[in-house]
Amino acid sequence: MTNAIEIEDLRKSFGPVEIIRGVNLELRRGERHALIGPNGAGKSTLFHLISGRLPATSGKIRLNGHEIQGKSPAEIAHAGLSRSFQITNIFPEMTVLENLRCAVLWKLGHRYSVLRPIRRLRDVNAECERLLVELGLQDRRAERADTLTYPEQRALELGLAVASGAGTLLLDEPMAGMSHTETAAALDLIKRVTEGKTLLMVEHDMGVIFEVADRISVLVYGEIIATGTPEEIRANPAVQEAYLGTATEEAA
Amino acid sequence: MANTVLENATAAPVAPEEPHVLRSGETLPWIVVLVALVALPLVFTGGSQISTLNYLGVMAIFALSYNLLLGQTGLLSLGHATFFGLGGFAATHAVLGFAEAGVNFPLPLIPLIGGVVAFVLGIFGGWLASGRGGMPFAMITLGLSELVYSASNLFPSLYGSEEGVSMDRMDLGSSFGMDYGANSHIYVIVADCLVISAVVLKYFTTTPLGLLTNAVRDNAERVEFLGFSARRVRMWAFAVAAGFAGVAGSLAALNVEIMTVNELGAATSTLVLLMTYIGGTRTFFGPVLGAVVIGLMRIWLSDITPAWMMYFGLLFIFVVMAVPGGLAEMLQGGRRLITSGLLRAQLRPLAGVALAGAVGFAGTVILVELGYRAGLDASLGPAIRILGLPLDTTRPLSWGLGLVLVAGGGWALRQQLDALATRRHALAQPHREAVQ
Ligand SMILES: Nc1ncnc2c1ncn2[C@@H]1O[C@H](COP(=O)(O)OP(=O)(O)OP(=O)(O)O)[C@@H](O)[C@H]1O
Ligand SMILES: [Mg+2]
Repeated sequence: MTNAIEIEDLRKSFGPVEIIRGVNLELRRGERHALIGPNGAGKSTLFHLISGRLPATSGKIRLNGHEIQGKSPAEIAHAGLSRSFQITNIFPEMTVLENLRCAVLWKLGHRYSVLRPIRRLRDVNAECERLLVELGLQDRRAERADTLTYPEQRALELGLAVASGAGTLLLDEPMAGMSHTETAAALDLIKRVTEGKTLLMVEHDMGVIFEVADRISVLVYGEIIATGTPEEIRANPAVQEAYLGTATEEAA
Repeated sequence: MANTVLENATAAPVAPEEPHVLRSGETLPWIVVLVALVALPLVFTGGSQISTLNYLGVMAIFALSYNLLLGQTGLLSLGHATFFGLGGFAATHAVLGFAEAGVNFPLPLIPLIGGVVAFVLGIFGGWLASGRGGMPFAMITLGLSELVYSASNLFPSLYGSEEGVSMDRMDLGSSFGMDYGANSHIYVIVADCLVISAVVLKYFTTTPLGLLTNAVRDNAERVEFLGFSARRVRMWAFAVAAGFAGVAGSLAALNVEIMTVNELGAATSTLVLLMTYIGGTRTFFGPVLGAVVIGLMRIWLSDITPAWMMYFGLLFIFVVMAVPGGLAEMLQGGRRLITSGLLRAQLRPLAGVALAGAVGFAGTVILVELGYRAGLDASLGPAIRILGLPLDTTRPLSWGLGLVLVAGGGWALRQQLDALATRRHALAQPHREAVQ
């Protein structure tokens, strides 16, 4: 079985500064993989490279065995990858329901269609209904997205990513800025929607990571310094030194 | 600011199903438009009056098509008249061609030809212009329209020479019981086309592609990550808008029986932009309102005053600065105010605002008219009647009156607006608490 994602010697420079410095990473199909690392390590940049937002300077990225480096975000989405953003990236002037409708259109095959009004499309309605309930946004469906509270916007951001039905999901700090209960609900949601899918998630909350992740990779200064199970990562002296340190004690 | 607070506070509980398409305020404009289309030709029966109505209807379709780009997709086209003009030329040549071949093609279907030609050309133009939105899009549309405009020198047989291409709309013979000699016959075509265009464009907004145009306006990048090409969405929006602009251009050609290159020049592109913006880009019928108001200003105001362009500019600046949602949103705000039941409590400051505004406006009119008379129209002599007042461009008192009214009105307007805001704030307070 091919891996969901394989990254080989991936590099990215902004001008003279190399931010991603030879990353190798494998995501096994169906695993939940956490990416951790200090601020500015290059986690979001790595996500941008995988999802096609930024072109890599060199290296290879394979999604389900197909090379995707150099492809457009839309092509990569068609190949089965979906992502969320660290900085909320939704459709601010549209309602919550309209946001979700946009996100489910492609997978349901109503691409650029003008054949029927969208409110007559049963499959779209049913799918959006399901998502609204799942995201806890059913009472907010008619609100403009930019009038939502921050945690609600984060939930919608997550919703746009999971709505596409892609087999591989990249979530960039999906719970950042959420309260304790909201985090718990979001975590629950993430676990549910990623059932049977491959997940790569950036997260700072160690409690969350150790609860959700099958494996963890640690990115420091654009390099992966360790990959392994939560136990292995916790026990890894290099990781402790470079990054985890006190965080492990807090989490424990 | 106070306005939005009020809005949120008085909003009914959220409608469970369809929030966007059928807001309560959406049916009334349709009724108004339909009633107006039936009633207007009964009131204004003169041949030239009907021709004016035809012109307004044409501009209404043109502005509606433009708003598919500006309001719906967030694209600022600086060359929309290209497709208005090309559609018009296509229609004109179609009439000439059918007449020459002796084909009895029904005249009401001619706009369909102009529309289809413009739509097909719009696919090309859209493909070229749509790689990115924003500034590149605006610049490419400007470039394309200049290109098409200057090509008129190269193809005199297509565009006609200086005086354009003329035709006789009666050459195609009668159909549907009309011979199309009278302007009222053309009115029937224009009115039908307006209704059909509005229905089709409205329908378009409810489709998946219509939703995607809004998504591209809001956040084109995110659309790509959902699997869609923002370029394709822009291109289709562009082509559809071009098609309806072509319908409008065809109708314009039928109305005056002549097409000139001016119809596809920059001035026409600017006109449709102003109409759409002033009417309101965020309301479906806003552009129609803008087309009617600006169209009438062009016709009537130019009879009353040589400075009509100036008022046009002032209106535009006023809308941009004071009511970015356009005249339609102003009307909607008024309607909300009346239905909210809070009108009475605000009547005093509102009247104050109106009065102060009127004083300031009167002063502006005096200054503008005096300025025109002193400058461009100096040959007509210094004495002039403005708003019924005998004024004189050589008397400082006349100028002083204008200045005092502008300054006084402006100052009073500020006071009254503050009073209104305070009032609204006070009114909104208890509601807000109730909501929370
Ligand atoms: N477009 C860009 N041009 C130049 N430098 C950039 C650009 N984008 C990111 N960087 C730099 O790359 C480095 C990595 O940024 P990145 O956002 O990937 O970090 P991160 O690991 O996601 O951090 P955080 O935990 O704060 O989100 C930072 O030093 C940042 O300043
Ligand atoms: Mg980041």
